[in-house]
Amino acid sequence: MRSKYLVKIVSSVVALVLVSLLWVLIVSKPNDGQVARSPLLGQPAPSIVTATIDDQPFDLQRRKGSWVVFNFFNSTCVPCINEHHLLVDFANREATNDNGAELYTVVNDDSDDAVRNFFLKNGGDWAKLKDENGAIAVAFGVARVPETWVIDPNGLVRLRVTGELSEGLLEAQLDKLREEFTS
Amino acid sequence: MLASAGITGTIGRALLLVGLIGSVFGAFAAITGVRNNEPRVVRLVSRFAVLAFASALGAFAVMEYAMITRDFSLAYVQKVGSWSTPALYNFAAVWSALEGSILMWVLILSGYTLAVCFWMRKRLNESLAASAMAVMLIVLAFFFLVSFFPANPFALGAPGVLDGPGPNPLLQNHILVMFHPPILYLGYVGVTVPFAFAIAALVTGRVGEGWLIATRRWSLFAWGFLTFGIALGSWWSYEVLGWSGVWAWDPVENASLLPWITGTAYIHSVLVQERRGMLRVWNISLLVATFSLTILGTFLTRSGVLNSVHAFSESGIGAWFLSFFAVVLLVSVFLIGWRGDKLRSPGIIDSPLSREAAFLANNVLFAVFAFIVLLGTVFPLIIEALQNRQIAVGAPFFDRLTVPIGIALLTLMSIAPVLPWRKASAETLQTRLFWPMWSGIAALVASLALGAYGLAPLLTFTLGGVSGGAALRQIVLATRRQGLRGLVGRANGGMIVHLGVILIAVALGASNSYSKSQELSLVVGVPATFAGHSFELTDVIEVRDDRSVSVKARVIVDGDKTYEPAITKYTRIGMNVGTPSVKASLTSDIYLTLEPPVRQDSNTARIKVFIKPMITWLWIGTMLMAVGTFLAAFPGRRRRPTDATSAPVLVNEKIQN
Repeated sequence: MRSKYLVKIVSSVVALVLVSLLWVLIVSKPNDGQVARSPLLGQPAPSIVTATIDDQPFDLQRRKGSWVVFNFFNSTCVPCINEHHLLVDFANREATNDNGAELYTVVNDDSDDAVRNFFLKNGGDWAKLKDENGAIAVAFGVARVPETWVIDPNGLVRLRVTGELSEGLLEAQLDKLREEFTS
Repeated sequence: MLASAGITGTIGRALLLVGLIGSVFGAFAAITGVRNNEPRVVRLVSRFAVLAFASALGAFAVMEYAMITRDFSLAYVQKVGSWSTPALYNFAAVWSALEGSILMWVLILSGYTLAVCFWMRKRLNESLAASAMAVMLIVLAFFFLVSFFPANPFALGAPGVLDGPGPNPLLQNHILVMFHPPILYLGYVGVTVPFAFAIAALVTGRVGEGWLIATRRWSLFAWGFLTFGIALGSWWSYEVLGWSGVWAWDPVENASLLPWITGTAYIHSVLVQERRGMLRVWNISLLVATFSLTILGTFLTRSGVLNSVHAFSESGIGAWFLSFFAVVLLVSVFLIGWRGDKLRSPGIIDSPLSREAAFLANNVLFAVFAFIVLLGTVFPLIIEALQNRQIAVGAPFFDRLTVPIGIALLTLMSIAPVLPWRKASAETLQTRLFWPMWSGIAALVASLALGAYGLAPLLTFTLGGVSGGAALRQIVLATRRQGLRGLVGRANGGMIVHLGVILIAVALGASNSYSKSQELSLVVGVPATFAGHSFELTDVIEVRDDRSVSVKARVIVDGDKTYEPAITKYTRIGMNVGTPSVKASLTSDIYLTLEPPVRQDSNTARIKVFIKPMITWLWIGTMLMAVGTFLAAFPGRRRRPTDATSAPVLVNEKIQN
């Protein structure tokens, strides 16, 4: 069982494995603050067919051609409340743009009335989507609110932000995505 | 009551600096004192070790003080502190996020360093002990450095903050948060001790058995706590997370399992080196691997490169741990290569049917096991580096590959305890395996009679019977000869640990293969049945406090007691946590969860019922492992070479040595 070759082979294999491991770890990208990973990134978005809280129909497929932003929201969650004014600013900015992104709130385990009242008090006139049984949250893998997702005009998921938005984050990320998309 | 902004933070940070300087100077003193043969310098080492421990303890105390008094001038308290967190959970909040957990690592490592220093106090001017102290102090200095710079728990936060969100809700609803992290760390950090002695042995050239035998109990202690910490984590997952499983192959879980795998191989393999001076390179490599894996694990879970249920990561710290990991690996590999000649052992393995060969096979199996878990854990990183897309590796990959390894390990556990050293004859094996074989057959018959089916579970139960028989045989023989003393000592304690492992294997086999689940739509007053049990919803209530709103469904199981699965919304963080309710018994657990959406005072509720056979035996097996480890730490009676458990030595056999 003793052989010089066996020792050499085993040590070379071990050395190779260790060096490859180190290389993989060195080039791996850490979490960029709140921009999070998901197996959905780069993949077609899940099919979403639902209604708004005013009972207007909504089908994600028919939004192809525009940038779509989903914000998973609950009126009692403190970070959601904190980031709300940033979303209002974002919606206003996009409204002045020809190719503006469409913002939708996905109601996460909350009553329609509570959401309606919150928006009445705090502004924001974009559509709020019902999520019966949490199916949309499950489809995206949303475990806690708030989360913000960006889908490109081809229907592919491009961005996931977990947690409370910071000032300017969504605008900056969307601008970057737009550049990549048109290039 | 609130410390004025900055004072608490400054004191804490100053203490960390003192500790850092103390460890650096201590390492320096250890190295130069021994090099230049100056006992006065060496005596300084213990003073520095005391200083390092005292400052670590002080810094930890300052952190706790800030957390308890809700001193929101500190950024860390702003992150995980809150007026509405109950006192006990607030105390544990210190280790609920990155900076505090590194601080706890520093505290425990400085404690171990001081303990080793005290243990070696009469021998500190020997090169082996002094070098080991130097290694420990260098590692301690690294962690002080991390705690002082990138993971600074005493950084000042934004001004004017009066309250915080509190720790992650999952860390606020079960008492285990007080025990699981510290116990796990006692194991994780404890690996540093045998590692330090291994490096010292390589550096000083004393690579014989001395360092190995001396650090025996330290290794066992660390391994025991690591095992218990991992088991507590699985119990917590089961009780709290609501998916009814005990192990998800999550990156953070794997990070704790990897050093356990190589550590288990190590504590077995050292027996061969002690007895015959063999497998030296294996032992040092396994120990280096175990320690490196604790650093790698910390990198993987703290750097944010992998998504995890446990996520409490921060970018920036990754580079520190990755560099330290690379340095540890490079230095160790260099040292092993340099001392290669000295590590060559005088003996060889006489026969493939011997205990030495069994332990070698054990090492190989565990190495493969560790490689598979490591590969699965970093696979998403590999794919992202090569193909720039993101994937997730889940349970199916791990389960498919680890089940065969588990069965192979059970097989090894059946034969190895009865294998003699050096060489076994077929006759010896036949005699010794007689009772284990029959208990295996009995186990198979019993499982079939109880309705078991499927190749993997039946193999598990049968092999469990055989290995259980082998372990019991050893214990019976030992107690017959020595009475109660036959239960202590490494061999006997080890057999009790094996019995615990077998219980765990059988429990996992049963619950993985025979679990059933069903979602029931319950209406108040109308009982439903599933799997021979009845469930009746009595009402749905809501419980509020200042940090959460909890909706609970009260369900009467089998007409007997009421169980309350719940969904709790933690308002400050925006997170819903499902809390399961479990009816445990020796045969199977009935595990209930409440499915959203549900409103209070509703007269319907969707309840998911899981029937998990034999899960309780997992926890019983864990306790047995803990008892066995404790018993193994006591000195047993040295076995005489002519005792019945050694192989008969043939008259004309040439003894090699």
